[in-house]
Amino acid sequence: MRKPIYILYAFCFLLSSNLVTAQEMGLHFMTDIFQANKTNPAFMTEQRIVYTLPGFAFNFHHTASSYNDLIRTDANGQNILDLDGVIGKLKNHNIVRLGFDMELANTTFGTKIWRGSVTHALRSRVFAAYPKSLVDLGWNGNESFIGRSVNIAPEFQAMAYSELGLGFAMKLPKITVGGRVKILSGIFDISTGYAEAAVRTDEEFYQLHLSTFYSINSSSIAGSTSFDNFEPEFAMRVLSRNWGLAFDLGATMELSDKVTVAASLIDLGGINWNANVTNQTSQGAYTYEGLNIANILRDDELEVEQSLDTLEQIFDFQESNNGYFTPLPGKMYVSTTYEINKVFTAGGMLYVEQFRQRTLGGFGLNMTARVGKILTAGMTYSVFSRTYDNLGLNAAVKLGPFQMFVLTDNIIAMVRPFDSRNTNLRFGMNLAFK
Amino acid sequence: MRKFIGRFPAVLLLLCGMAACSQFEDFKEVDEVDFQPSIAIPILHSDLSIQEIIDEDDDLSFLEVLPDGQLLLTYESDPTAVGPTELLPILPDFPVVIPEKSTTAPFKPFTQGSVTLMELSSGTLEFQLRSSELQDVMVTVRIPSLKRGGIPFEERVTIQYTGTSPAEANIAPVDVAGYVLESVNDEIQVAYEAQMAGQPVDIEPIVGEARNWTFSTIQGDFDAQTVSLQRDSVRLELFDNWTQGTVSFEDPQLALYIENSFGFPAVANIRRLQAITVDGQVIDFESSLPGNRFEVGHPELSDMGMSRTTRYLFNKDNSNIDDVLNARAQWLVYELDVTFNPEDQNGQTGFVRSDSELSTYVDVELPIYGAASGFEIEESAKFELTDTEDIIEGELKILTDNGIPLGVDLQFYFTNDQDQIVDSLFEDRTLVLPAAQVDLNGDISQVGQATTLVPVSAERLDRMRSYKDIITSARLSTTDNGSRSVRVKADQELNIRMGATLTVDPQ
Repeated sequence: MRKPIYILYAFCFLLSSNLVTAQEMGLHFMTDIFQANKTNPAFMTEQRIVYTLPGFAFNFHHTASSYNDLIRTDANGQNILDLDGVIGKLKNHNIVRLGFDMELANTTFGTKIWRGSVTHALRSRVFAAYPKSLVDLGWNGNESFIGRSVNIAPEFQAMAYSELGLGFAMKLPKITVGGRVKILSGIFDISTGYAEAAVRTDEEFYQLHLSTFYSINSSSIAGSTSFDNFEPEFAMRVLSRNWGLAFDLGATMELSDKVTVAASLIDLGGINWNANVTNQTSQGAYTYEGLNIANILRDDELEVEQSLDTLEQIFDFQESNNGYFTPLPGKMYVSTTYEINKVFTAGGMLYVEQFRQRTLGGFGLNMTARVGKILTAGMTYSVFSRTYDNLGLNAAVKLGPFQMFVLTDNIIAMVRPFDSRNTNLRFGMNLAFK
Repeated sequence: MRKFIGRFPAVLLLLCGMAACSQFEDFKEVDEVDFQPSIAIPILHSDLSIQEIIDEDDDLSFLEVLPDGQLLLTYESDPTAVGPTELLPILPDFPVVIPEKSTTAPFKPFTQGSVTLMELSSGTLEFQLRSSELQDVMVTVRIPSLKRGGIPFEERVTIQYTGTSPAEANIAPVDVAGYVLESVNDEIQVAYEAQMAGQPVDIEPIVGEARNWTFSTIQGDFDAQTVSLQRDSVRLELFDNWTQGTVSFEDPQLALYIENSFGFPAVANIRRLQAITVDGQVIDFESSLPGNRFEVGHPELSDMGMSRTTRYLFNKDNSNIDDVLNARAQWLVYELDVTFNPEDQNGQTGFVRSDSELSTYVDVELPIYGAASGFEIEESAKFELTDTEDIIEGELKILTDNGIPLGVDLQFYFTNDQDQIVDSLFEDRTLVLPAAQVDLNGDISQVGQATTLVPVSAERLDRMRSYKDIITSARLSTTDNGSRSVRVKADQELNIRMGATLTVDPQ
């Protein structure tokens, strides 16, 4: 138990020291750099031609707890793993997200009226949703669930894909509209399809009823989901049999010289997984009523083995090879900015993300300062999915055509990584020409 | 300044990285897991009819099912038997003299009667011959009463004259297995022929001897003869471990079985039939059987090799069996004599075979139709809580649906190393298995149901780990606390389900 948690957290925070964000609240307000266009395709930079150099983005979010929430230190200084406090705070469904993007090359070009863009990135997403009852059942046992049916099925998706985007933005009087078509090519995916597994402990004499309707789909262009025979060159392919489409739509409106509002929908679409697909499906129902004394009397032997056989049959996954579709995590940004003066701009934003029927959301406040023509620095405070301690910093430097930027939406996670449930980091460099 | 500003994002990135890395030192390694789940599990369940239990459990061979489904408790004694050697002695060796050429010789091997036919299974016959003639004499010895395959016994020998008179010769022992000897009026026919130079002559009386004769069958007319059978007993295990309470049976029976393959009329005489109760009292078994004697069947000549079974039944109408059993009889002891040919009828032919046997046993048959009240039994066993170290506390839940009109309330006592009772599982005796309700005929009208909870706290569980023995005390009562008679039948069912909630500490 201890090791995986350690490794998970270590991995997350190690990456967070180098890479970049995902709900991207800070990025949304960094309109001086082209990458803000990822959050709203109607955003147009001052520079008419921009080439981006490779950059990275990373995000991690757990709706339930930080690592230190799981640990209690007693009077003797012993660190005790204790989930009692955490379970009370869990929601019915809890989500762990992990994202890693590698921005390979982007370019934008055009005039003051319109812009076209071509983007390419490799993206990976890990998503897991687990019911509170699964943790509660595992930690506290089933006694408190007597007479109730408990869903214990976790959902998850881990996928990687490449994305080729063609974007266009047009500036109209007071309004700028933009859109992007993204051609997706799935590299690999492993995800749950049906995710129902219920345990019921009967009131009578605690008979255990177990039912499953659970499927795991997997696909990989490498011919196998195993890393042993994964061939990296596939990752660079623009289009594979795992193809998909997604759209970004956005608009900005200048309400006055100082006030601008913006709204966007990002990643509307998904991927059809057809290459080397495997579907594993478990469907069955089983009741365990303890040892049947009658059978022992009849057969003169214990039926434990028989019970295990039946259990094995229930969890015996049937294999098929049918293609399937997974949506991308769709996002919505609605924001407004107010230019206080030439240096400071204040902003506010609502953010909603939906993935696999789960919705996460938050809002953020931003203050950006433009220090001369070289430095733009900003600070955000955001509330995201019941986390209230997200203080973000961002900075972009322009040295001639060279731009470099870094941002995080939660600088506190850098100081207290084991107390944080939410972190992200983005870093990139551009060449921008007027 | 401009240089610093230019490097600001890189510095920020570096600071973020350093801050994050420095915090790994604050990672709290887990020293202990505070994990004590409370689990609820089913332990066992069963839904069994009495018939199934009887069919599958070899230890319940004392339970039988009558054609109407009624259950019958049977206790059977080991058989005690007499064979032919108790009735007839071993055949002695005897002389066979042939004084004349054709005559009869006496044949009465037993004092108990006259043999008319004897099938021999082993033995020999030998003769010594003498002649005073001064020439060789050829002699043929013949026993017309001794035949094999219908051909009489016949042996030839030459008495050779060697210059000495009288001359002698022997007929070496001849195997008589397979011969049949027929006797009339305790005599057999014997004869010889002697010739010298083709002319008949007389020789001296021939002396022979029958040695080691055994028979496979003897027929004859035998005198009255009484044989005593060994004392036998039957144990009524019903009262094993009994401590208190009453039980009564509506229709108890005791059957005395005699299997007889001797071919004679016989009469059994019950010399002793007594019950010994659990508290050591001896009660005489009284019956209306005249003189305590009854006739024993026997196979006729035409049924030779078969046996006849005689069953004499004692019930509440012809004996005091109900009083005896209700006095909690634990042992029944009986002794028996059998008199063969009791009337001593001359001229009546009977038979004995080498495998003839008269065996007897008693069978106590208790149709389970009756009543019990507070019938308490106790049994002690070693008590050890093994593999329970992880359990902190728990509660057992026992549910019963009893389709049998017999209820059980239970108590479990625990003893310490000094064999003193120091604890009990229940505060008071608990009716775990209430009896089913019955109608006026004693048949089931409603299943008895109960739910029993047995909480075991952590402190109690700790104490229990030191206990040495567990004494199970079960008190059985039929419906309405034994105030009415009930029938226990094979199709009646008992359903037991048991589960437990346990708080465990897997560490």
